[in-house]
Amino acid sequence: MSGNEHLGCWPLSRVAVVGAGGFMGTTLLKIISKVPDCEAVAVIRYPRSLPLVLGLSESVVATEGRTDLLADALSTCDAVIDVSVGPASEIPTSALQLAQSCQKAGVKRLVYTSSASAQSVKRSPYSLNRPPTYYGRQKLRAEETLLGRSMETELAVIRPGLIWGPRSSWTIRHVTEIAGAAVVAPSSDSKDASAPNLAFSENLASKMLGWALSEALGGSYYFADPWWSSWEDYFLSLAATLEISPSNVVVARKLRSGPPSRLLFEFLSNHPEVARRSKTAFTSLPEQAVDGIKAILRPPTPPPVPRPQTLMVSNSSRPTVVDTGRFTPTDIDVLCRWAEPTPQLDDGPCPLQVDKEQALQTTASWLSSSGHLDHLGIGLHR
Amino acid sequence: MTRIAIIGCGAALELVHKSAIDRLRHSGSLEIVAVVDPDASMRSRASQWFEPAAPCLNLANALEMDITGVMVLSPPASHVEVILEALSYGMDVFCEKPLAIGFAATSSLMENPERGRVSVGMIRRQFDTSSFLRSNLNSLIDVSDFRIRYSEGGPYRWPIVSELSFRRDAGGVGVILDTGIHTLDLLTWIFGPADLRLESTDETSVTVARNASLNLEFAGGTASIQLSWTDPLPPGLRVESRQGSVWVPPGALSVVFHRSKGEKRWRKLSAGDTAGPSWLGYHQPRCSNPVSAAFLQLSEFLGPSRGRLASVEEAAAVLEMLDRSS
Repeated sequence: MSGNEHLGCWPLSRVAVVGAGGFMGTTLLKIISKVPDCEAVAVIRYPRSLPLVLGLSESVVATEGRTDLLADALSTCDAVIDVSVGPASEIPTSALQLAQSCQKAGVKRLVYTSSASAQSVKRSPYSLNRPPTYYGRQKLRAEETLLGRSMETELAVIRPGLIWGPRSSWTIRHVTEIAGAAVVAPSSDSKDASAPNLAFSENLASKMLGWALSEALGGSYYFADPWWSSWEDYFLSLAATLEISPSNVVVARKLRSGPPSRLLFEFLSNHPEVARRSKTAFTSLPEQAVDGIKAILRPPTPPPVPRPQTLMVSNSSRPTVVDTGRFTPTDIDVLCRWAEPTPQLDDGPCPLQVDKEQALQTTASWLSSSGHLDHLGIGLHR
Repeated sequence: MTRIAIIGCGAALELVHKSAIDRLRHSGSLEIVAVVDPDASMRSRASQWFEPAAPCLNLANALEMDITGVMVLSPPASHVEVILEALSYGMDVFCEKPLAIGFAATSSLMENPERGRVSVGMIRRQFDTSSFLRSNLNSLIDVSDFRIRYSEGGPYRWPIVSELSFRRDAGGVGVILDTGIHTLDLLTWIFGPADLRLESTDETSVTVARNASLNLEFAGGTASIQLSWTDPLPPGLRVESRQGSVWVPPGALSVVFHRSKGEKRWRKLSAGDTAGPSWLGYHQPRCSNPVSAAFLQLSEFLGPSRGRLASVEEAAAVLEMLDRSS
C-alpha cells in the first residue's frame, strides 16, 4: 500500500517534466517533491540547465534535442508533463516528437501545456476566427496535431493564461510597470471588461500534476485563477500587497479593437485567392473610388498615449482613470479580448495549493527577498 | 609580432577570445603558432581557425615553434600548473579567470620570482563604466560613507557538456568563483580592499553553489552582493551615499547614471571617453560591448602597458578573501 491512494492517484508514480529547467518546470519539480510516492524525472535539453534542477530531482536527463534520448528518458515514467518552451516556429514539430516519444515509451498520460492565446478571437464585427498572435496559432496547431492523433497515451491539453508568481518574468514586468505608474489596465466598469486569464504558478503546477496522476478523462482545458474580476482588480491587489499607491494603476475606460486595415490584412494574408481577386477588382476601379477606399482603410492617427504621471508621491486611494479613444494594443490587451470567464478544472487529486491572499504574499516575499522591490525603490516593510 | 600558443581550446576560446584573436591576427600584431588541448577534435578545430597553428597535445610539444607567450584557457583547476610550466620556459602568460580554484593552490606561483610575467583576465575591468567609476568615484559619491548593492542572476548559459561542472569532486567552481570572482575583483579594484563575509549559499557536499549572498566591508562603506544561476535578479550595480548615487545598469558598458543628493531623476553620464590602446591606433569609444572588452584585454597583454589586467597578487588576493570568508 502506498501513500498516493488517498489522493485517488496511481500507487507509485514517476512523472517526467519536459522543460524542467524553465520557470514552470522548476515550479513543478518543487510541487512533485512534496507529493508522497511521486518521483520526478527532470528532462532538460542542454546541460547548462542543470543548476536549475539540481537538488529538485534525483533523475535528470539532458536530451540535446535527440528524440531517441527523450524516448529513453520517458520509458520509466507513468506520465509526462510538457512545459518546454522554444522558438514558436518549432512548437508543432516539438509537440509531435513528444507525442511519438510518449507512445514509444508507453507513457500512460501526457499533459501538454498550450496557451490561452490559442483561443480563437471573435472580434465583432470582423469575426476573425483565429488566434491573434503567431505564438497562439502555433500552439493551436500543436493542439490539433496532438488531439488528432490516435494514440494509447491519454492526452490532456491545458491552456493557462498569463502565469504569474515568484520568479515569473511577467510578475517582474507588472511590478516594474506599477512602480513606474506605467501600467494601463482596462476598467472593470467598462462594457469590454473581462476576466483576466491569470494563472498563479504554484496552483497551475499543482493542477497539472493532479491531471497527470489522475485517471480522469483527457481533453482540452483552460486554467485560470478563480479570484480576479478584472485586470484592474489584479493590478490594484498587487499594488496593495506591495504597499504602492493605487493611483499608480492607470485604468483605461474605453477599449477598442485594432484598426480595420490590420484586420483586413490578416484576412487577406490567409486567403490569397481572395487577395488576388480583390487586387484585380481594386485596380480596375476609378481613381476617385480608390482614394475613397484608401481613406476608409487608413488607420486614424492614434491619440497621444497618456504620459505616466508623477504618481509615486500621490496618496490617492483610487486608481488613475484616463479616457482613451483607442486602447494601445499590449499583451494585456491581447489576453483580455474574450469576455467570458474561463472554465475551471475541478478539484482533482491535487487541490489548489494557495488562495489569493497567499499567492500575493508569496509573490511579494520573493520580490522582496530577491531584491526586486529594493531595486524599484518600493519600500515594503516586512 | 608576438607568437602565442593557446592552451585549452574549449568554450572560453570560442565564445570569448576568438574574435579578439582574429582581429589582432589580421592587424599583424599577433600570430597563433600552436593550439594545445588533450582532446584531438578540439585542437584540430582550433588549428583550422588559426591556420597555420600547429595542434599539440601539450605545451612541451609546442616548444620548437619559438613561442613568446601563452594564453591559458584550460579548466581552472589546471591553471597554476600550466602557468608554472610556461614560466619555466620563459614565456609571458595570459590566464583566464579564476587564477586557481582556491588560495592554497596559488602558493607555488606566489613564490615564483617570474610571476610578474603573468596577467589574469578580469574582462569587466575593461568596461568603460569600470574605468570611469574608478577614476571619478570621489566626484560622484561620498567615499567615506557609501552602500553598494550588486546583483546578477538568471539561468546559467555557459555551453557546458556534462554535469561535472556542477560537482565539487569534479572541479566545478560554482557561482561564487565563476561569476562572483568578477564582482569581487571589480568592486575591490574600484572601491579598494575589503573584507568578505559569506552570508548564505546553497552549496552542498556534492554540488557547487548556484545561489549566494555575500557582504563586503570597505574602509568607507559596505556592499551587499546577490548572485544566482537560477533566479532572475534585478541586475546592475547601485551605489548610494549622502553626496549622490550611482547606477550602472547591466549591458550598458559605456553608460553610468548619477543623481546628486535631493535629485529624483537619474542623469546619464557617458563613460565611453577613456582612451583606447594608442599603440594599436585604436581610440574612442574604448569599450562598448563584451567583444571589444576581450579585444582590449588581449591588446593590453600584447602591448607595453598592462594597466587594467589583474596581476597574480591581485587575483590571489581575491581568492584569499574568499578562502577567509568560508
